[in-house]
Amino acid sequence: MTKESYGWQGRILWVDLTTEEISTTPLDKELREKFLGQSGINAKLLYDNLEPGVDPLSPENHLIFGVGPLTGTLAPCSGRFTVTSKSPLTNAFGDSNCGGHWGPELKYAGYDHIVITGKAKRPVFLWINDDKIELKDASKLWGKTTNETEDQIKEELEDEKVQVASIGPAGENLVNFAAIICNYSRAAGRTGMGAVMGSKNLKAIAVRGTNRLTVAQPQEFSATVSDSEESILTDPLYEISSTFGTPAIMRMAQSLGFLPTKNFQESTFAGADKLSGERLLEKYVTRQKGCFNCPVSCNRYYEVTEGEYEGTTGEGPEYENLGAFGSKCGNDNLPSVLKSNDLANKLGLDTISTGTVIGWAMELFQRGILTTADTDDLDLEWGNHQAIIKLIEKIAYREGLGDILAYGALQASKKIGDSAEDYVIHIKGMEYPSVDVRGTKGMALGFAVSPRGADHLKALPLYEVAPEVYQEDIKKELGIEVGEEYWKKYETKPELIAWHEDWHCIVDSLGLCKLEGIALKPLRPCHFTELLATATGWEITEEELRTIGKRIWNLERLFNAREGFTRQDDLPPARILNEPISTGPSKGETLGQDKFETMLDQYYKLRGWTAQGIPSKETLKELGLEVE
Amino acid sequence: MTITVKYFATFCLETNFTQQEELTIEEDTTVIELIELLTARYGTGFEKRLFTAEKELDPLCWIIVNQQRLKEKNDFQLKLNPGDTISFSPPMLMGG
Repeated sequence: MTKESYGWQGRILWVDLTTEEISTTPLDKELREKFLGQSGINAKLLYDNLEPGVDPLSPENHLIFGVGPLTGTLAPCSGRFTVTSKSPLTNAFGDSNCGGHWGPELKYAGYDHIVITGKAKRPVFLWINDDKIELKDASKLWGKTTNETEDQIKEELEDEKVQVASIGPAGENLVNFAAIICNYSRAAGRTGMGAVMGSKNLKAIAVRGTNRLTVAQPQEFSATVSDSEESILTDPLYEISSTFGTPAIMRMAQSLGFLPTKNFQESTFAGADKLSGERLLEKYVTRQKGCFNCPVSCNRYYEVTEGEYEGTTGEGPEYENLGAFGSKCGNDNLPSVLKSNDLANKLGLDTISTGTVIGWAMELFQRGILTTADTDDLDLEWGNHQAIIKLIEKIAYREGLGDILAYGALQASKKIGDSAEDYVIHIKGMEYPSVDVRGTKGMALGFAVSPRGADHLKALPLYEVAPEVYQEDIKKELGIEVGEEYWKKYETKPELIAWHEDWHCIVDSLGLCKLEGIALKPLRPCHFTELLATATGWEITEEELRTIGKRIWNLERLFNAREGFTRQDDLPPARILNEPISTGPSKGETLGQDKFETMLDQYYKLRGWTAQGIPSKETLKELGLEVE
Repeated sequence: MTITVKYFATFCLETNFTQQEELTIEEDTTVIELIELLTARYGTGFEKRLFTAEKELDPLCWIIVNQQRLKEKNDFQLKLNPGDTISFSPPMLMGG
């Protein structure tokens, strides 16, 4: 058996929905060694095959699914896959990473990537059953929710083990922030990948795989897996991750004064305790749910057993969902947030953009820019949870005001006019997650320079707020000395963010979960080199591996530069840049345009980019990314 | 005098999900005396989350009086004042 057989399956599946031609090509060694897998190779395939200026919702756009060399192996938290395309929300590079069990199944079917082009003449779903690939009629599935779609496809194929990634009505109706959902609640949520799928008349991809997945050095790999699992299970933060998941952050954000409230007008929310991870666990969580091969199982099932939302069941929510449908909308009714979360998953919406867009609409209502004449008589007063739920449905089905909000806040603001754009909290057209970054300068930088718009996940420097937990790692790995209230400082943040971006490119390209890899300490770069070496037989140093991360990061930047994005697109909106936080423990904190731009200059210089944020010829040459 | 005590994440597992409470305590009560009171109230599990086997403050526990974090053992002799807020928390994280 050759090296090519280990880790990767070595095949790319190409599906042209217009011509219904289906083919496979080998996954080149050079591609693997330069871009590793999953998000990295997805980015390279998109860059090489997509003409600049293409309409994201046209048949010419490419929709690419990818898994990494560790996806589906015994490596812990290896259930990830990435969906990549040009985003209809931002017109920039788009990708979204997802857990669950779909990614490993694709690997077992024998593929590392799927590249989908064209547009089907009628609604179809792609059925991948090892080497047998079919486009099947999905007319009866069109209009169904994601969970109905998953159930009906399993029933039609008479196989409960089939894994399904599908879109709901939001994707069919081309909502710019539509998600792709698998396992009922795991979402490739951000940047509107579900809308791209809908534009191609592709309702779902069902996968069943029975091929073997082999590793190069089974005994050594097994030992490295054991060591990695031990690191996760003995990590001091394991209990919090495993017991509460990300909702534990809610009261911490409140305590630090970073909890976006009422569309970022305030940074503390009086109802935070009612939305907390502690309250969720006490009242509503019924049991845990884990992704493929995850010893943490940070996801949960929930059920509401009384009150207005009695009978609501679902999975999650994450902290981001609590912020999006909760504090950002001035809503402290947790059962309604659980209902909103479940509804968004079923309709196939990105919860972060959906909640943030609704919060923005509520501020427009507060300011009289929208009135009941614009909202179909919906009262968009802060905290009106019935209105929030109604708007979620209206967005997915593009009814009334929902038809406008479905474009995303920035594009919608241009349709609404007046001063609506002044209150859009976004980068590159994508809405901010639930962190008021005026208090956390590194996160502010990370959100700003992310190729996919306002985004907490590309950098995810959890170190920044609790540096003492990691200070020895930070000193050893980054050479940075941290001090009191490190989050408030601008100094060393370009280095902190660049380091996280590079390594998270690696985590996303290997097929691992970044919460356990880098972000929450347990898995370090040494684990990645050892897992990769023993799984694939490819010996690589940490420095060489990080260089691959840098190459991927620069390629994504290059994609955006080719589409016309520049420094101006890395600047936060005026509220975030110049208005001080008005309430709470971080009152008075602000980014300040001059200080932020100085930090941005330092970051560009560190990256080897021009003052406009474009990778220089020298940087591209150094990374082997020379282009015309 | 009355103070506010807040319990975060894993500390809530010890308080049966009480997230916050007003407590009436004697004047000049110190932080360590409050910890003893809370240990009597919620059990030794509460204390075990705060201290290592060597009776040192676990570096992964945050005790915050108003906006000030206590880090040294000597800090535990701090006398609480009426209206103070004291928080018990694991390290605070952001960005998930």
